[in-house]
This record gives sequence, C-alpha cells and structure tokens, in this order.
Amino acid sequence: MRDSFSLTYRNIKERKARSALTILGIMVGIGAVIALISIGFGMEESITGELVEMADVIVVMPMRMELGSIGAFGSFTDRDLEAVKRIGGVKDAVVMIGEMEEVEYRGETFMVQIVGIEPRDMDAVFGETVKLEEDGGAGTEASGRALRDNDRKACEIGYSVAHDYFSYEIGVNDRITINGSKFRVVGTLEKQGGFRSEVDSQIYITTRDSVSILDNEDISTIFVRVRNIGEAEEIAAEIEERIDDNHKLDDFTSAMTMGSAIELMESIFGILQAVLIAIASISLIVAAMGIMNTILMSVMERTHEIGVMKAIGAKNRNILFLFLLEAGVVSAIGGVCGCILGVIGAHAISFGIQMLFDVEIAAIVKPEVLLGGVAVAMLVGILSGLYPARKASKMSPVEAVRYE
Amino acid sequence: MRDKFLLAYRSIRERRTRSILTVLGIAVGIAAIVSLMSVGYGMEEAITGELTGMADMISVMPGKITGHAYVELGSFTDRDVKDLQRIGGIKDITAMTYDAAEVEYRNERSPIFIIGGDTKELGIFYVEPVGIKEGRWLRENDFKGCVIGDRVANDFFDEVIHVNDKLIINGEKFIVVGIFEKASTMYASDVDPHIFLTLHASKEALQTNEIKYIMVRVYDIDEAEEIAEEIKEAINDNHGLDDFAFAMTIGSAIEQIGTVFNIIRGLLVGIAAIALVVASIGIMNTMLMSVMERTHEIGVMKAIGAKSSDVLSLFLLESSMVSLVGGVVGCVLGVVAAKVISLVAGTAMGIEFSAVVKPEVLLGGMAVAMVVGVLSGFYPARKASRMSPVEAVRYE
Repeated sequence: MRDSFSLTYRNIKERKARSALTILGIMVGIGAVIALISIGFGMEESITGELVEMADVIVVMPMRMELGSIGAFGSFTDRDLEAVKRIGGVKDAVVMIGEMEEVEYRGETFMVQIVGIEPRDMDAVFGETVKLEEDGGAGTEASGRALRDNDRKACEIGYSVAHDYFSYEIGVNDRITINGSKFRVVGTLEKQGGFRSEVDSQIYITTRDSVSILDNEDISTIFVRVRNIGEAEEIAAEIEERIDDNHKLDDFTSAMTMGSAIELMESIFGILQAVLIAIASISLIVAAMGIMNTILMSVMERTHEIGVMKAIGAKNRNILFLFLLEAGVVSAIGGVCGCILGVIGAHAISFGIQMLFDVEIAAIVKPEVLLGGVAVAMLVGILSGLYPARKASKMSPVEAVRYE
Repeated sequence: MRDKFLLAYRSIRERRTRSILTVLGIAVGIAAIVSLMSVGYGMEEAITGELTGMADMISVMPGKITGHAYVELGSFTDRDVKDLQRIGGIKDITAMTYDAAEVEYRNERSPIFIIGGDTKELGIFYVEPVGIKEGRWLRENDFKGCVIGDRVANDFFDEVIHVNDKLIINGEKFIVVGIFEKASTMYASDVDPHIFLTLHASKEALQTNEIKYIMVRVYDIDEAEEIAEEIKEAINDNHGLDDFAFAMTIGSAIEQIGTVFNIIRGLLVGIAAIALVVASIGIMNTMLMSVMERTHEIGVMKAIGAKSSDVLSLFLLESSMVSLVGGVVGCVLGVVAAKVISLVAGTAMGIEFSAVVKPEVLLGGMAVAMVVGVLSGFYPARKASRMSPVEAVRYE
C-alpha cells in the first residue's frame, strides 16, 4: 500500500508539466462550480434572509396574486378584519389603508402611495426588517425616529421618496404637503430594494390621520401573524374562505404566507442554480477527458514497467489499483486547489457585483460544498481513470515486457 | 507545405485515442457555447417576435413602474385623449378602460377584471396574435356581448363556460359571443384572466368614464420615442403633476428585452467558456506530449536542415488541425443539443420556441476553436522549435 503511494508520487513528479496541466484542468472546473454555488447561496440568502424572520406573517390582499395582475378587485371592510381576528391561531391582525395621493415638496408635486397604519402595529408588520436610515444622508444629523401613536400630522417616508422623487432631498423635520395638509417628516427609512421595494416608495402616516386626509377607509391589506408557523397554510385558507363568504364572491381574497413565498423563491433559485451548475459541469467533463488522456499516456509509457511488475508477481488488481490511485491523487489535488480557487473566485465575483451594481451579495461558502467539490473531483478522476487502468491491468505480461 | 500537412496528419492518426480525446474536449466546449447561444436566440425571438409587428405602438398608462410592480396613479380624461389627437405623427389612438367587476355564472360569483375598448383596435391588438377558439370577436354594436379569456372559461368557475352562455357582470346580463385561445406567454396575463367588452358596454357595466390605458400608433417608427415624450408632457401638464403618465414605445420594450437577453447570454456563455479553458489545457498537454515523444524526430529534422520556423509551424499546424476538427464536431453537437434543449425546455415550460442557429455563431465557434488551438499549441511548439538539434538527436 505504501509502495503504491510512493510509486504514484514518483510518477506524478516525474511528469511534472503534464501532471500540473491535468490538475489545472480539473481545478478550473471544480473552481467554477464552487464559485457559482457559493454566489448562488449568497444571492438566495440576501433575498430570503430577511423574510425568514417573518415566516409567521400572512399577507391578505383582495386580488389575484400572480404575475401580470393589474390591480385589486376592491377592498376589505372592518367586518373582514373582525372575522379574521376570530379565527383560531391568529395572534394579531393589522390593517393597512393605502391610497395614491398628491404629495408636494418645495413646489414639486408627485403621486405617492400613502399608507395609514397604527404605529404600534408597524413592528408586527415589518418585524425588525425595516429600519430607520442610520445616517440621515440629507444633511440632518439623525434619521429621526419611528412614528408614535400620539403623533399628529407626522409621517415616516421610504428611501426613494426621500432621495429620488423630488429634486430636493427630504430630511427629518422637513414639511411635505399630502393631499393639501401639511405633514412633518419624523423619520426616513432604510433602503429596502429587492422583494420589499414597495416600502421605498411609500409614506407612512397614522391611521387616525389617514382617516381624515384620505377619501376612504378602504382596507387594502391585512397583515396577520399566527401563533404557530406550522398552521399558517391552513389559517391562510380559512382567511380566504371567511372573507370570500363576507363578500359572497369566489376567489376574491388571496392570503399568502411568507413561508410559501420563501419556498417559492427557494425553488426558483434551486432551478437557476441547477442550470448554472450544469453548464459549469461541462468543464468537468472536458477535464475528465484530460485525465483520461494523461493516464492513458502514462499507461503507454510504462508498458514495459507493467510487464516487469506482472512478471515478478503483481496481480491484475494491483496494477488496476496503482493507476486508479494515480488518477485519484491527481484529481484530489485538483479538487482541493479547485476549492481554493472557487472560494477566491466567489469572493471576487461578489466584490465585482458590489462594485458594478452596488448590491451587496456575500459569497456563502458552505463546508459541505467544499467537501462535495473534492468528492466530485475524486469521482471524476477515478471514473475517467478506470478505462486506462483496466487496459493496463489486462496487459499480457509477456508482450508488455517485450514492448519498447 | 503539403509535407507539413501530411506529417501533422500522420502524427494525429498515429495517436488515435489521444487525438480523439483532445478533439472531444474542445468539441464539448464549443458545443456548449453554440447550443447556449442558439437556445438563447430562440427564446429571445419567441418573445420579441410577437412584438416586432407592433413596433409602431406606444402604450400610455397613468402610473409608474416601481421595482417589480405597476402602481396606478389615477386615470386619464377625455381631455387627455383630445390633446393626444393634436400631436403630429400619430395615426391612431385607442382608449381602454378596465376595472374589477363581480361576475356571476350559474349562481357562482367571482371577481374578474373587465377590459373595455374600441372593438377594432382591441381586435388588432389581441385577437390577431391570440386567436379565437370558439365563437367570434366583438362587434361595435355588441352592447350585451362579451368575449372571455381561456382561464375565465375553464378555471374561474366550477362549470366550464361556452359560447351563448349568460354571465351577469355587475348585475347586468351579458352573452358570451366568443372565447379566446389559450394565450402564449407574452399575452397570457393580458388575455387569459379577463373579460372583454365594447367600450360602450364597459362604461355602463363598470359605471365609469375613466380611461386607464391608451394605445397610440404612429406613422413613423423612428419618431416613436419623441412622440412618447410629447405624450407624457401633454398629459402631465393636463394633470399638473410630474411623472403622472407613463408612455412606453413597444420598440424600446423590444430593445430592453434584447439587452436583458444579451446579459443572460453573456453570462451563460461566459460560464460555458470555462470548459474551453479546460479544453485548451488539454490541447497543451497533448501537444507537449507529442513534442516530447518526437524529440528525436525533431533533432533529425533539424539536422537535415529544417529551420526553427518549420518545426514551429509543424506543431502549430497539428494543434490547430485538432482544434478545428474539434470546432466542427462541436458545432454539429451544439446544433443537435440546441434542438433537443429547446424541445425539452419548451414542453417543460409550456412555451413554444425553436433554437435559432445563426451562421455567424457557427463560424465564430470554429474560429474560437482555432484560436484556442493555436494559442495553447504555441508554448509546446516554441519549445520544440528551440531544441538544440544535437541534444534532440541524442534523446531516447
């Protein structure tokens, strides 16, 4: 056994350039796969990560939640809210009243979505995910504070409202005019982007203010928190049924659990990642051919040697093992180097994405991915070494010794 | 020159297994790139193809797109439409309205979006590309007739709706005169879940005069962008708001889709190109071995008067022949793979598209293969050409 290893080592060392190139081939292949997987996990994490802590939330809207849906069918009533609250397992049900209104700031007018919400409910809706901006960014020192129950004519504004919509940036304590009444900005929110980008373009006011300045009290969204995440799907189904009953309409309500949203995203990411990895694996196939070539050559060159070994009593499986070992060692080294290359590559890509698109995606390197990479490399090596090794082991000792 | 070809050919043939493996390596790499490009172009064509016939259209909406969702900011007025008619270069204007309505069928009630508009224009926009499966399209005087999308007919109610069935929309009776075919991806969200009425009927049923969507056709496609700007300005002025109207030319939509596809293709091809890097490493390896094995031969050639440049070109010829064969095989494999992928992916996702094989992609694939071959053969070939004849002859 030790002899086999030292023989293999000698062999690989003797043909340095060839071994190095073969290792390089498999290294590039494994590196590509590992970099892609790590970046993929990073992207998934950055999108679903903040949703995970909201897994007990159910979002209820009067519309068909699907791509290309052109709007809401109507709105909910207080009776709907009461019905939802009565369902067992519901911890909390919070309403949001939303409407597009004209907002004026320093002579410019824009249509912005105004959302009325009880300040104490905001945490229930957003959890810890939506925070105030850390630095006001608009010349003010702080980003203000959250809305309070006893605030009158005060609002919190989303990131885009503060920084993008108007020619002048809006900061804390600035005054904006919503639908004719003046409001004071008490806080600006952190940029959300991605899945929660709607928060960026909204203005939040208290429910009491919303009743007085918005034309309606239509409830556009109900947020429900459940006690037990395991029951979320059933409760969602029950919510749909109760509200549909109230309105005597089928399919009027969509209740989406955050858990199912996360699952949906994960399955989309799963497909995406599988496609990318499949494409990257093509290079592994090419690398396998390289290994086969190298080992074939090695077998050819050492025909004489094989003959001698057999003549002095080496069995077929000893020879087979010897060449498989060579293939395995070459590809294992390739796999380890590939892991290193892949990790560096993943970090480089995430850095590049951050530079180019200003999106923070951390590469997530999982140990099982690295182990898997080395295992795949070994597997590729041994599989592609099998044919040459068998060829070597089946040689007739007489002819092999005569060769050269 | 002929001798060199013969020599290179002989050397490739002599080491058949090795050459085949090397050729396969580069073939797989090229095939991956060619098939991805072809599938990518096929998908793009499937999506933009339907749109190119409408490149002279501008769609105008009272809202904006924030992130992933369209947010409605209000509605247009008749005055907006009149103002648009005054803008030069506009051929046609269609105003549409839509809203949710309560629809009843056999004692079952469900909320469904109603789209109302000029029957002729709606027909051009939806009926031509999607097609009517049953019955006929609306006529101008069909005040009590409606045409429904595929999902309305088959999914929304427990019982399937057929032509001549009665629907009650917001309390008024309508007769189904036609049912759309199931729409392709591009139109699925526009047509399948909706009910179409004449403009007159929709105003009655929805109790509204609001215009939610305006479609404009221009005479000259090149002017579309400018006209879109003008439209935005005119409507924003009417409403005294910035960024109230959203006018998008279909041409710019096609361009945007094209850009997205270029990025996706670039990314996929970039990943597939890694296989080419690995293949070039393989070529280099094969060539290095070939040089080593033929050290003695090289020495003899040099001894009888071959110049360094002769030796160099001999080995470069060998590597580029291998890679050219690989490139050709790769193109063939790639085209086959592209057809298979588009068939499988098409049936899996329910989209009909066929791979578009462009000759420039095939030529490019072969050219890339050649370049890869020559580049990766360069180091071994130089090594061979620089050998001292004395030592090379002594080798073995």
